[in-house]
Order: sequence, then structure tokens, then C-alpha cells
Amino acid sequence: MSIPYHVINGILDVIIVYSFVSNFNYFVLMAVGFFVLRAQRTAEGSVERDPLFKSRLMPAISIIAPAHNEELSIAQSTRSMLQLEYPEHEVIIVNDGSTDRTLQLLIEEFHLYRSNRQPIHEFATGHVNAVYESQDLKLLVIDKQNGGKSDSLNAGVNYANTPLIAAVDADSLLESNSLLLVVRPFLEDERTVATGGIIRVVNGCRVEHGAVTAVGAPPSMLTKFQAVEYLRAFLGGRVALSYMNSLMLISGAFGLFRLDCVVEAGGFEHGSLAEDLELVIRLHRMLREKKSDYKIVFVPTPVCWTEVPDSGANLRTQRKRWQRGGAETMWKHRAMLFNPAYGTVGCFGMPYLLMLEILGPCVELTGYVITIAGLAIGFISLTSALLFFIGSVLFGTMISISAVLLEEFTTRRYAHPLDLLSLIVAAFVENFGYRQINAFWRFQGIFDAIGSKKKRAWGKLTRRGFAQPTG
Amino acid sequence: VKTSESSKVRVWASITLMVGLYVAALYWVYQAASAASGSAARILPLATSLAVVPCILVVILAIFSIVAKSFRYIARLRAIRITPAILETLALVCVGEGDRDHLRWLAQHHPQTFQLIFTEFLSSFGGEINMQLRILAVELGLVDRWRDAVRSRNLMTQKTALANLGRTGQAIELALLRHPVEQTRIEAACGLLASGSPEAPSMVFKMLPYQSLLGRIRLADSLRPFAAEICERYLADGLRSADPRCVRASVDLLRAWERWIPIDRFWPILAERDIDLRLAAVPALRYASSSDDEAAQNIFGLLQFQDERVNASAAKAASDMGISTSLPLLVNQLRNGGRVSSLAAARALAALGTEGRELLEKEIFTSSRPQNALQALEQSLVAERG
Repeated sequence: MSIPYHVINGILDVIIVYSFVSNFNYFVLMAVGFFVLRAQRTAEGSVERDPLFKSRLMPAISIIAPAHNEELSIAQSTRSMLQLEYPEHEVIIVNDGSTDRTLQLLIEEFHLYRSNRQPIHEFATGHVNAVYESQDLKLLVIDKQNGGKSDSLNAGVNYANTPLIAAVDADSLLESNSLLLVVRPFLEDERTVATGGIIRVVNGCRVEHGAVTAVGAPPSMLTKFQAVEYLRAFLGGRVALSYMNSLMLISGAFGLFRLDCVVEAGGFEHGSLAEDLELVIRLHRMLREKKSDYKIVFVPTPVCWTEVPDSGANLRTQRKRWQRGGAETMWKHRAMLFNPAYGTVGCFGMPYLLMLEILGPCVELTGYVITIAGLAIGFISLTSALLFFIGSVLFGTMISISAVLLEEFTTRRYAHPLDLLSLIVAAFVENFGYRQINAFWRFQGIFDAIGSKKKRAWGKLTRRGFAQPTG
Repeated sequence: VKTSESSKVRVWASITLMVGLYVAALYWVYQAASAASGSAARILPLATSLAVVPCILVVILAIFSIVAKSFRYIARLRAIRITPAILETLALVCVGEGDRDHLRWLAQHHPQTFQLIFTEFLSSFGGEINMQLRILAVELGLVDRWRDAVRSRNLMTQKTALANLGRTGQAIELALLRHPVEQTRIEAACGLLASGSPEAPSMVFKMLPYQSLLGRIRLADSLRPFAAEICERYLADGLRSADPRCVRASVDLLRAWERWIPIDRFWPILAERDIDLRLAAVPALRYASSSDDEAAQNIFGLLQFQDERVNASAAKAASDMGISTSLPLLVNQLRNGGRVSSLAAARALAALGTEGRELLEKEIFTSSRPQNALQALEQSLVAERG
């Protein structure tokens, strides 16, 4: 019995140290995020909108939005994209083989005609059935065979003819000034190749005519947990990583890229489940190998509102897909890991992604299993198990509440004190059940990446759309 | 160019201090727990206790945040209630009928709301009312407050103060034009221009080349009212400058203003410059050429230039300027150009009236690759019909 005891004890030590190091890392990132956001918060709001909105010097943008069975929200989100405040932008909706009325709705709502528009770039994509254009709006709709999100984005890139492209989700809503804000790093520094805005949870907000008119905390606990997660990921992690020029992910829901760089990098990876993460890592890789001086920047103020799953089944599908995509991407670019040739990206960004985001759920679950098993067999005392659990909950709570407070110290989008209070409560409660289930789903995602031959698909998420209150 | 990012030194110093404190606490707890025998027994209390301290701090911060948010919420409700009274009193005082003492009371007891409304008035009214507002700004001590706010680290506060000082004709400290943070420089420059200082246009024009594109866009907008003076006295020198940043800034001004400002020998000045600079200057040909003939000659040259980006830009310029003599060159570009320049040529032909469209129609029936012609003609017809 002495060997297994030592083995289990050793594993437990590793898990405790891992848990401590990872939480310490989160804590440091949160601290960096706080100081950076505090330094930036007034700077971004202080730039006047009007001169930018009417200037001929602003680079034109093509907004590419892949849509797959989005009949509930496509009209509103397309209108919202067309109405964005920007001097010159075109909206390219890519209908990725929808089986519902997505295409018909677009044709009817925006009076589209079948166009002869030709692609400019030559990325291989699923067959394009037809291209539609609006008579009076800068709207292009590409109807193509189903091929997945990256295939659709590449189809959009093929038709884009502007210096910058924005990749957005068709089921998201961009705030009217979001393009003017997210383009700012390109105007401030010509080394910028990509920027991303913050994704926030629209559930609980009032949406009118394709715009969020009142911000409120999500109504259900499940959606509140996700709102806290989004704040933690964006305001904590990404602000700090961006500051160190090691930003590894620009969310696929809202990112802005230099078209020439995307084309040179080879477009979005076909079939990837994390095409956003994969492209950003590939851009880092390409530009570091070329020894280019470049910047990939996260901007915390431009908001993209997204509807998060309000059922466990939908959430499970989404989290498994994200985790699988992340693991596959990490494996593809493993040569960058701990490789000093890739600078801070290789030595910090990639290890951070591997240790905390990819392997995190495995270690967490192993910890739970060993603790419970050890407790049952008698290897671990009840005091040690409780201490482990309390430490883990306290760290988790601290980091989640810090993320909510970061929002409060900087962007302050939730107007009512009760919204803030409910999110703080959610930040504590998520440690009892939600966090463990989430870790299990993410573990399943990694398991899929390693062993499963399952087809890579978008994953069917049921949406309510923006027309009715979301929960 | 230093932009909105505050000093990296300040951010990193704060982070180092915080992490240092945390690591010191870690060492202290480790020392305290080192007497324990098992490794888990040593590490667990360490990890837990280190979680407890920041967790308590965060919870205290959270409580304060909720209280502060509640106060802000109440303050906002109060501001909404008092706004009509401030609006009415200020409007009446501006037209010489209001109670100045009541206005002073409002300014003292609701300073933030009052300043917001006052700023709104300053940016909305000119003439007699503006003169009254200038007097009031001094009387109510707002000018002194703005002078203090210029030193604020909060860029929003600083921006409002500089803009208001400019609008009320107060002097702006010239040293701010050389401030290390770009936004402060830009706001100071805009304030200086608004203050009506006679030297302001030349000073701002001279600082233009050393700002980011964001800064240049802001300054180009603020310099617009002084366009005639800038063109007459400074722009040609800017274009002839040996410093490519000065040339770029001058070209950007021409493009941003979109008004006809003939510059003698505009294109020959740029002939020896690098390709990106000339590419940026192509749209400005429309505004800077001294005659249609000169513009057309330059466009012809650019349509035959060995660079697809230049060809595409020249085709657009030809259609914007309505140079129908460029039709043969555009047809040639449509047939032999790359994908982007060929499409640009097709669009230019479609925009150049009946003759251009007839050439496109002919191309559709005779060319082996009629797609671009078809697309351009179709878009042009739809736009005309729609």
C-alpha cells in the first residue's frame, strides 16, 4: 500500500501547487488588467467621435458575418451592422448552407438582387451558389454550401476589398460606436495587425431595433455565471496579455484584422473549431518568424453583445467545442511552446494557454477525484480535504469577484446597484457545482480532441433571438 | 508616438509593488508553516491562507463598490431632477433675465451637473450668448477650475477643461503642445485653435507630422476652418519638405478637407517619393491639381504605372474626376490588369457615362473574361435604377 499512497500523495502535491500557481497567475493578470484598464479608461472615452466618423482618412472595413440557421436574429443583427457608425464599411453575410429561412429573410428584408460580383482572393471554400447585393445598402450576401465557420469566413475574405476586415458572429449585436473604437489601435500605431473588442452577455438587456438600449444583469443563474466568466476572461486575462503583446485569442464574435496579413497567413483554418484562436496564433507565428515588429491588441471598450446559452445542454455543446478547438490548435502549434524564438508568445502566452486554459479542467477534475477517493480510502484527512476545497473556493471567488469589480471600476455598464450585487453573488455561487460541471464538459472536449473521430461541426445551439427577452 | 497608454513605468511599478507584497506574504506564511512535517501539511495551509487574505480584501472592495454605486445612482437621480432648473436659470441669465445669485448657488451645490450643462451651452451657442457665457465662466470660478483640471491625469477631465478654456477664449499653455501623451497634445492644440490665437494655425500645422493617424485626423478636422490660410502659407512648403512625415501630413490634410486647393506642380513634387506616399496622394490629385488638363495628364501616367495598387487608385480618381479621355487606358487596364485594378477600371468605366458603359457592354460580348465588366455594369445600372 505504500507505493500508491506516495503516488497519490505526490499527485495531490502537484495539484495543490498547480492550483496555487494558476490562481496566483490569474491574480497577477487581474492586477495587471486593473492597472492597465485604470490607465486607459479615460483615454478611450476622451476621443471625439465626430471627426473620425466623417474623416476620409479612416481605413475602410468589410464586416464578415457567417450565418448558419440564424432566422431568429439575422435581420436585426444585419441592420445593426449596417447602422454602425463608421465612414466606410461594407457588410458581408455568408449564409453557410442554412436550412431555415435565413437567406429568404435577408433577400426580402433588404431587397437583394442576384449579383455577378466576383471574388478577389482565392481561398478554397465550399461551393458558392449565388451572391446577392443590396440595391441601396452596402450589403453583400454570399450563399454557399455548408462548410463550417472558417470556411464561411474565408468565403467572405474572398470578396473583401478593404484594408481591414472584421470577423463577427451573425447572432451578435455590435454597439453603434464599436467599429470606431476597435479601429483605434490601427490609427494610433501602424504596427497593429489585429484588434478585438469585448464580448458581453446580452441576456437580460433590452434590445430595440438591433441595439441594446438598457443594460441589465442576466436573469437566470446559469447566464449570470457566464456573464461573470466573460468578464473574467476579457477584463482580467486579455487586457494583461494584450499589454504584454501576448494576446492569444481575439474572439470570433468580434475581431478586426488587416486583410493583407490574413491573406498572407493563409486565411482561416478550414475545419477548425477554434478558428479565431488558430488565426491569432498563426499570425503571431508568421510575424515572429519574419521578425516583424507588430502588435495584436485587445480593446476593452467596444462592445459586442452576444446571447449566451440558457440551457445546460447548449452550454455543454459550446464548451466542449471550444475546448476541443483549443486543444487541437495547441497541438498544431506545439513547436511554439516554450520556444524563445517566439518571444513572449512562446515563453508566456502559449504556456499560459496550455497550462491554464487547456489542461486546467484535467487537473481540476483529477484533484476532485483524488480528494474524494483519498478521503474514502483514508489517504487524506478530512481537514486536508476541506482545506483544499476551501482554498479552491476562496481563490475562485476572489478571482471572479475581482473580474466583476474590474467592470465596475472601469466600464460601469451595469447601471443599477442590484445588478452588481447579483453578479457578485453569482461569482461566489458558481464555485459550488457550475465550476465542476464546466470542468467536466471541458475535459470531455479534450477527450474528443484526443480520441474522437466525431465530425467537426458548428454545434447546434438553440437561440431565442433578440426579439424577446432572453433568459 | 506616445498615445493613450499611460506611462509603462507607472503601470509596471504598480504591478511590481503589488506582486512584491504578495510574494512577501507568501514567504512569511511559508516560514510560519515550515515546522509541519508532511509536504501537504506545509503547502495546504499556505495556499489556503494566501487565498483568505486577498479574498477578504476583494470582499471589502466589493462592499465599498456596491455602496459607492448606490451613492452614484442616487447622485444621478438628483442630477436628473436638478437639470431643468439649471437649464432654465442659465438660459435666462444668458439673455439677461435670470437670477444670477440662484445660478451661483446651483453652480456651487451641483458642480458636476452644472459644468456638464455649461459645456453644452458653450459648444452650442455663439454670438451674444457665448459672450455672456464667457463672462459667467470667469464670474462663477469655472475658468479657475478648468485651469486646475488641465493638470488632471483623467484625460476626459483634461479634455473638457482644455476645450472649455479654448471656447471661452482663455490662453492655453503652449508647453502642452509638446506633452508626452499624444491626446493631451491634441486636445491642447484643438483648444488653442478654438481660443482664436492668431499663431494657432501655424503652430498646429507644424506639430501635425509628428502625430499618429488618429491625431492627424483630429487635427485636420480642427484645422478645417483655417484651410485657406494653411494652403496659402504653409501647405506647399509641407509638400516640398525633405521629411516624408511632413509630406504625408500635408497630403492627408488635402484628402481630409476634400476641397479644391490648387497646389502648383502638385504631382511633380511627389514624383520622387516612395510608392506608399504617392499612393496616398492619388485621391488628393482631384483637389490639388491646378487645372483639369494637369490632373488628366497625371492620371494617364498613373494608369500606366507598373503597380496594381496605383493603377486601381488612379482608375478611381479618373472616375471621380470624370476624365473621359482616360477611357482607352481604362479599357486596357480592364483587359490586362490584375484582379483588383481590372475591377477598378471596370467600375471607373461604368461611372464615366454612356461612352464608358458602351465600352463595357462591348467588352462583355467580346472579352474572354467579361466578369468584371459585367459586375461593374450591373452595379451601375442597379444604382441608377434604385
